[in-house]
Amino acid sequence: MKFTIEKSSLVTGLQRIQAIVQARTTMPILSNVRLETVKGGILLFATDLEIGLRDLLPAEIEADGTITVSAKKLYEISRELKQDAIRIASEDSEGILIRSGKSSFRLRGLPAEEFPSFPEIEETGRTAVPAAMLLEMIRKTAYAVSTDLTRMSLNGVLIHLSEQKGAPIKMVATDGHRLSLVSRKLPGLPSGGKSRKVIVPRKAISELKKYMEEAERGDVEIVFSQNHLVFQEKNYTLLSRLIDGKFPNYSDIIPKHNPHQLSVDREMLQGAVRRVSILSDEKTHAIKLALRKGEIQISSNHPEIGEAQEALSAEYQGEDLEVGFNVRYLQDVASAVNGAEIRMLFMDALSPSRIEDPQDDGFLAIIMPMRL
Amino acid sequence: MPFAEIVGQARAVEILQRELRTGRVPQAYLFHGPESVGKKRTALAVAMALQCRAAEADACGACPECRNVAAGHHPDVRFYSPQAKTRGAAEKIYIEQIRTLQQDIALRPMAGRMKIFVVDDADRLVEQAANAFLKTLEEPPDSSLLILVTAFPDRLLATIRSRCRTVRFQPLSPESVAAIVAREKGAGAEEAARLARFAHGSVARVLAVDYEAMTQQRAEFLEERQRCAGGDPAALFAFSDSFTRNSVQAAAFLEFLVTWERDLMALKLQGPDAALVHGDCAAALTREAESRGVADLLGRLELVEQSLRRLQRNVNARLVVEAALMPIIGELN
Repeated sequence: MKFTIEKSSLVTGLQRIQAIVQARTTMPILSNVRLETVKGGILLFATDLEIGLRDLLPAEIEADGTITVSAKKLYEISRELKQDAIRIASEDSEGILIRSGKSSFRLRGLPAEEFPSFPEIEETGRTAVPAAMLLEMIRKTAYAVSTDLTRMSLNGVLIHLSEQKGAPIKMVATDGHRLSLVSRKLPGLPSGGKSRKVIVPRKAISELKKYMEEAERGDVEIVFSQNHLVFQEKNYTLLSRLIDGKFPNYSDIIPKHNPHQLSVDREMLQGAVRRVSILSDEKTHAIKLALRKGEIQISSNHPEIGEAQEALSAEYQGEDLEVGFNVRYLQDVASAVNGAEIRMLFMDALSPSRIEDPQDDGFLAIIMPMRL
Repeated sequence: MPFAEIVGQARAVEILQRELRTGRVPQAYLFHGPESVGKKRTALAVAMALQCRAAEADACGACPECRNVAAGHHPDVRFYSPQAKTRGAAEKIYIEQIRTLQQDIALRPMAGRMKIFVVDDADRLVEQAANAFLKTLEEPPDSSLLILVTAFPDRLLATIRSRCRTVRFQPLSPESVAAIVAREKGAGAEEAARLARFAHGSVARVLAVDYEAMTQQRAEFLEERQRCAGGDPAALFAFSDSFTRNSVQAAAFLEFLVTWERDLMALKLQGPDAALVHGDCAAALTREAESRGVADLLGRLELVEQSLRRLQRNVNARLVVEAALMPIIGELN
């Protein structure tokens, strides 16, 4: 194997896989990255056996070959090199020689045969989603993903694609205390013609999010299969194992007839909540919303330190109501709303509250109140 | 590893292969039976058979899937075994390991058709880990198989045992051990048979220790035993003192005593034709056997066997060895 590659492209490619290679130590080879020469460049592949990332970096190939080397060390070396052009060569599977300007490094490797191969994907359908849309959907749902390891089926985002023509793509996340749902119309028709519900682990979602935040991206192809989901954008391919479990039937949970409607300026609410939360109890994170006609009063109470309250004028015509919330849940959902206003619908002090964005019909969130 | 390479466990293999063939593999197996008789190897064979794309209800041993399982880097076959938290601490299966298992089992397979998790020495799950594991056993995902391996099924929670299909493994016959020794060590039939007897029925031990070292160790043990029999209690105490912090060595010594006493008994009852563990010491054994009665030999054998059991139950190694040797003090006077 022998090739010349531009520093910036190698560094970016290697940076993307750092979060994947570090985690596991049970199989030492998994801390390596697989390098393979292909037409027009170098194919990088790294995996932690939960997700896998494959990326094609443009390079000038002089001799073909495949090898695995420490992803962290290769990244650290290439990041520090002064010259733009990096020459990498290997004679056998023992390692590689990295040269740039007057620096040279010999990095030991492991044979590529021992590295897990990119699994064969038996594609059952695919759909293209504009990156900006996908990123927004992730931002509006990922915050509600559970971290409770005893309920693994909630440790991911549900992607729900209905078979009906013109039906939207939906993403849902919940941790049992709150739920967030986004649905969007797709510009094109998905292929495969079947209803699909897959649960994508948090890690894959967060890696994809990082990639899309790096720069402006084009359409992302989502490829479905029995065991995996693949996200493709140009040369970038992210593969994830799916969560093997049943996602709760979320449409049953969504309250449909909450009569008491509150509309309030989002930024004013966020500011007030932030201030009042300073004196909320560290254990319960509780704050109280007291709703009166035309006004809400937000308050917190720390038994040892003190209490805080702030009044906000708001559009409210329902009966007087006092509802307790975990302050973090309220802050998370407020940041997921784009519009200037946030709409909250209540039944009573203990039933789930429904949160809407008046400027986005496709967004819906639910928060379970706290008993005060 | 194809099932054909599992020696001496025909019954277990037959049950497993039948279940593989009919597709009635349960969600969890419990493989139990004496130590080092092939339980973990069989678990590996089941994992291979489930991943292998070439053979039906068996492993071809040659395809990439089989080779990956054998080499320990198949992404869908994982092994969990006891680990020491700090150097020198007791090896246990801790909650952290079970948590990784739970995260892993929740995902669909990476490459194969199924995910297989082998938990070796499952009796060493710490309490918290066992309780967490129970939750996984209650509702494992469809595409997964758990295989628990243990020599002490009684030490598992009854609730864990009841959620697994149990498969019993038998003690290996000396012929089976000899066959494995011949294969693994390339030993001739006669030497393999001798090693097999020497190994006290344990394949792991006979493969780990070489014959030379064993013979030398036996010579040392015999010498110590002679010295004690010579009537000097001080020699006994000096000897037993060396086991104060070394129960492994104490076990080796007691196991030697068991085989030695057993040979004496065999000679006494069957005469010179008896099959001996220490066949190369026949002369010394015959001399000793002639000087003692059957009842005496029987009592002695029972005592050393009991000592060995006590040692396994964590009784102070030094005291156990002293108690085992006490009756022979002064015997040669």
